[in-house]
Amino acid sequence: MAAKSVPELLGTPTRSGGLLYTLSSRYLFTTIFFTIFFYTMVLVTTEAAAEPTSVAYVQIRTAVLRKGPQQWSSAVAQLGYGSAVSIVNNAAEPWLVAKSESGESGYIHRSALSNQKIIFLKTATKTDLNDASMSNVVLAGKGFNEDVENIYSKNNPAADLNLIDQIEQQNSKTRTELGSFVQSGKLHGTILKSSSGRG
Amino acid sequence: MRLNQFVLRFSLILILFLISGCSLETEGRNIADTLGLRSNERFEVGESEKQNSQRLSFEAEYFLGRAAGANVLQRFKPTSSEKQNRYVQLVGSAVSANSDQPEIFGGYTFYVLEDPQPNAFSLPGGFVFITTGLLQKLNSEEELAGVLAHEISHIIHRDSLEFISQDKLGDYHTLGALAISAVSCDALSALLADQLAAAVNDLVDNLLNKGYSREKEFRADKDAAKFLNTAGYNPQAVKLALLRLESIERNSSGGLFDDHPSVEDRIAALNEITTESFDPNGEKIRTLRFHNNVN
Repeated sequence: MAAKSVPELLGTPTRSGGLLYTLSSRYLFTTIFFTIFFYTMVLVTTEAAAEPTSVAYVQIRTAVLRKGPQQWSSAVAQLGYGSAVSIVNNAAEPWLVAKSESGESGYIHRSALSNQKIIFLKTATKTDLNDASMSNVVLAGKGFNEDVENIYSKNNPAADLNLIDQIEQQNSKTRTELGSFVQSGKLHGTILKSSSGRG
Repeated sequence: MRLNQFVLRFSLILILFLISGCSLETEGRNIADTLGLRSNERFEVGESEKQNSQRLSFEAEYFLGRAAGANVLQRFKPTSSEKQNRYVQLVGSAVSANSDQPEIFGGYTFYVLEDPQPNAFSLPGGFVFITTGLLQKLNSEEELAGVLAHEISHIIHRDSLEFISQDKLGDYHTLGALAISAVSCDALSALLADQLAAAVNDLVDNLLNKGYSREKEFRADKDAAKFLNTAGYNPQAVKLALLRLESIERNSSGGLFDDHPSVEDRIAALNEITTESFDPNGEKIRTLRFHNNVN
C-alpha cells in the first residue's frame, strides 16, 4: 500500500499548495469559527459574572436582616457599615432577600445597600486605594466624621451632642414599638413582632 | 468655584499642612485625583445646581445633621413631655418606614421642641423637629403624619444642603479629598471641624429664616401624600394640614410656614391626590389617640 500524504489522510483534496493550502481552505475556517465561538462564550460568561446585583454593601451605620419584608419584622442579624451581603432574590421589591457573610439570610430594604464597596479610610491599605477604581468605592470616614465631631464639640461646648445621642437612643427604643403601633392604628402591614434593631 | 479661587484656597490649606507637619502621601495617585478634580463620587445624578451638595456621603450628612441638631437645641428648649415625644416618634417612624428611603445612615430621629411658634423643619441625616406650637394647631394623627412626611421628603432630597454656601462646600470637598491622602492627620480634622461649624451656622440660620423654593415645597407636599397613602393614612390630610396652616399668622419664620409659595398655591397643586386605601375606622382610632397623646 502506497504511503498516503498528510492531506490525503485528512481527507482533503490535494492541490499543489500542500498542507498549508489544505488547512487554509477547509480547516482554517473551522478553526476560526470555533475560536470566535469560544471567545464569544468567554465574553458572555464574564458579563454574566459581573452582574452588579450579586453582591451589595451596607451603607448605613447598622442594618438589620429581618424575618419578613417589614421594618418592624423581627431581626435575624445585625450588619455593620460596609458589610458585604449576597443578594438571593428581589421578589418582594423594594425588599431584597440577602445572605450575610456569616450565612444568615433575611429581608433588607434596598435603601440600606449600595453596589459600591465601602473601604474604611482609617484602615485602608495602599493596595486597597490603588487597586480599587474610585468610581466603585465609597471611602467611609472621608469628610465629616466622629473625629471631626469630637473637635467640633470641644470648640463649641454649648452644642450638646450628648443630648443628640440621648434623642437618637430614645428614637431607637421607640421604634421597637412600631409593629404594635401600626396594628392598633389599623395602618398598613401585618407583621407584628417588634424589631430589636434600628429602623 | 473658579480655578484661581480654588488654587488660592488649596495653597492656604497646603501651607497649613506643611506648618502642622502633616504628611501628604498621595498613595500612588496623582494630585488631581487626590483633590477630587476629576471627582466621580457616587452622587453624580441629575440636577446640576445640586451636584456639590449631593457629593456629601450619607455618613458626612449624618454628622452634619448631628452638629446642626445640637445647634438647634441651643436655640430651642426640649419638650418636657416624654409622652408627646414618644408619640411623634412613632408616627414619624410609621411614615418613614413607608417613604422612598426608609433606611438612612443613623436612622430617622424625631423630636418635639417646646416653643409656642408653630414650626417644623428637618436637617440632613434624618433629623426632624416639630414645635409644641404646631402640635397644638393640628387636629389629627393624619395631619401630624402629613407634616412629618413633608419633612422626610426634604431629607430624602437633601433640600436643606442648599442653605450651605457653595464656597464652603467647595472647601469641604477640598479637605475631604485631602483626607484620602493624609489619613490620620489631626490638623485635617481640625480644619474639617471649622468647616463643620461654618456649615452648621449657614444651615441652621438659613433654614430658620428662609424658605425652600416653590419646586421643593410642591415636591415635598406631593411626596407627603404618597408616603401617607403607602403607610395607610388618609393622604387628603396633607391638604387639611395646609388648610390649618392657612389660619396661622405668617411671619417669615421659615421652615414649613414660609410663604413662598403660598399655602393656597400648595393646596391647589395637590388637587390630584388619589386615595387608594385607608381604613376610615382606623382614622377615627388614630384621631382619638392623637388627642390622648398630644393634648
